[in-house]
Amino acid sequence: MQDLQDSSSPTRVLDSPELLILVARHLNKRQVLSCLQVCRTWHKALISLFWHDVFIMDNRCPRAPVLRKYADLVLRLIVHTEVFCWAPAELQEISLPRLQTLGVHQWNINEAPKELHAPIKPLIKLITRHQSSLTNLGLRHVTSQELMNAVVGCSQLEVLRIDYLQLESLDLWLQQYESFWSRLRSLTVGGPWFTKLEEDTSFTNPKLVEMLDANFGQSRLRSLDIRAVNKDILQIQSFLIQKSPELRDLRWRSTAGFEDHGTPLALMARSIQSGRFSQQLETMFASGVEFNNSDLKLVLESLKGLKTLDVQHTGFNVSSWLILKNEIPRYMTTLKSLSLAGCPHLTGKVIHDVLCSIESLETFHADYVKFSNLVEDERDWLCTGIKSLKMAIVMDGPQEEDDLMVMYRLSKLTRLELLDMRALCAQRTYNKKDVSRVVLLRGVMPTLARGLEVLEGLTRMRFFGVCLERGLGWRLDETMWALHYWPRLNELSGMKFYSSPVEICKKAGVRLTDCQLLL
Amino acid sequence: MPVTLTSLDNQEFKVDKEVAERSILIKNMIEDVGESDAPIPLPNVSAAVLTKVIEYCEHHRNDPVQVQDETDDPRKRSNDIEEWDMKFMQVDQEMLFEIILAANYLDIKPLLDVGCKTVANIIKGKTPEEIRKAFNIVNDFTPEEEAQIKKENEWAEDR
Repeated sequence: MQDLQDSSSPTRVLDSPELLILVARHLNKRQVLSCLQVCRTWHKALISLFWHDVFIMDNRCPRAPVLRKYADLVLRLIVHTEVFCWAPAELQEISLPRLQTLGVHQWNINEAPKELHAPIKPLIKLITRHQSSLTNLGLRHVTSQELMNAVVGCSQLEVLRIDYLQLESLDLWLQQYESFWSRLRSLTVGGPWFTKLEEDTSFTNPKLVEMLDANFGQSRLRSLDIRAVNKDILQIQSFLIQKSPELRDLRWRSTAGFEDHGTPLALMARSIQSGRFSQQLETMFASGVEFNNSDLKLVLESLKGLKTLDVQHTGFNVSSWLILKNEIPRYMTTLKSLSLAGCPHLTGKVIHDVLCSIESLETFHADYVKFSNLVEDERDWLCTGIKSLKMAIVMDGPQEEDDLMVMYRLSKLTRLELLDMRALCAQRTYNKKDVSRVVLLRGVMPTLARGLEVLEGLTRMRFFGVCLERGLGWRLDETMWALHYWPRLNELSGMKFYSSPVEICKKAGVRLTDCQLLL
Repeated sequence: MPVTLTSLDNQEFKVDKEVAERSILIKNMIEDVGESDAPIPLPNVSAAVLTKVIEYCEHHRNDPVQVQDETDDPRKRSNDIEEWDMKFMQVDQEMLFEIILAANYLDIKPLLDVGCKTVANIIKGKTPEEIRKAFNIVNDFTPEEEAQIKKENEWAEDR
């Protein structure tokens, strides 16, 4: 029987380890695990792929003998644990000769013993053991000077993500610059826990900065994401930017400008003017930054290859949009991703205009979008190739026609995979006054109920979120809507709905049986 | 300028050079041989399969050349299949695997990719027994081996 099958094409594909691996690359861990149990051929072909990634959560860890048996295969190890010193002993002892990526996320550091150094000793040892092979390291809620010493000892490291960079002295940082910091390709320092340098650091001295510029070589950074919380960090950031000719991806996260430096965007505009900044960024993120439009214009004009622009929580306003649209029109055919989330000066008209103007858009994010009079503006959205659309639509009163226009336009987006209209609820910053606006969202629900038919074409949808959980209680018609469309919503290829029908009923304070009767 | 391809069963296909060169194998062959009217023999591909492959290449003749993306990050890999490709792949299992073999032999990376995604979609959500059934595979594990595999990998279950 086996002989007969040997010549068939399924067997020729499914017996070929190379082709099996190509197939399995499209599967998740659990699906690959199922494949391992199919037959010996599959097991042999896929075992190394399976062990390339080890993801440990809730202390579920391969047993020590098993981990030792497959140690040679592990390339990536990700650990989510309360506190690393409580992680399974297997992990603390293990040595993985080919380990390239290590991610450690501690999420309960507050529960850790008071002496900060104690709990991370095992982690420091783990990093030290893998210093020669690690290329990619991510640490969350972990830090200490001793740990940093282990990190900067990783001679092959290219990617570093850390949320609390311990900077004990600037001299030390500069000493490590040539051997470590300048060799990184990607640096992300995200968290709020930056150590504060002493007030009187050398970086504030302009002459010294010039001297530093002259004496230090270039860095290989392509991607830089630093939260500048004080002047010194801002200086380090500027220093790194100027030293990185290959920089493509830059994220500013400063929450405010710093006196005598100005906002990051102003700083950038000045650097461009003085010829000190000429890198061709592909991604720019300038969140939480107040800026003036002439800086924005100057920066955007100079960036010829920008594909992703994220200006969420900024003062991006109608004039900013008009500059982008009318004065730098090339963005209308090249920009792939735009986030205007949390920009309080935007109106539904602008958002509508964005969607009608940027042809190349694939991802768009805006929350609090107040659409009105869409009926009068008959233009269709131009960005029909959009894949991800996130916005909370707030209707200006019960204008059903407008609601339906939004639905109609959504139905034209043939490639939409992610539609998320929950953004408004997630905005914790909205105060009580805004609750009345949230209530207006109720108008969307019945519209959606009728509008779901126009969404029929969206077979590719991965995620569909509507603003259901908003802590205000549900009306019965909303509950009924969710229940009525439950099978259809689930059908749209495995997308995650916010909660189960039972949960929905619980939130609404109605019994499931009541609803069924009403339906 | 058209190129002539000859299938396993000696059927000739005239296609535009641009279309034929979606196949890296054919592209290299043309480059090696230079301008020539001689048909290119494809002794591994039957006429039925070649017809399908050409249909795919015709449709994708203007696609930009795929940048080799060797990223191992599963989040960066896209699992979705273009609508046209999805319809194109609605064939019986025998043909699906024939297309994969042909794409592999002819070195048409995007077609190989779509084929593999289609097979992956068949596997998704299935138990080992259901996978065996779907592809007519015989379970050749001993009960002890099965137990061992289960035991070694229990940490990865229920994810």
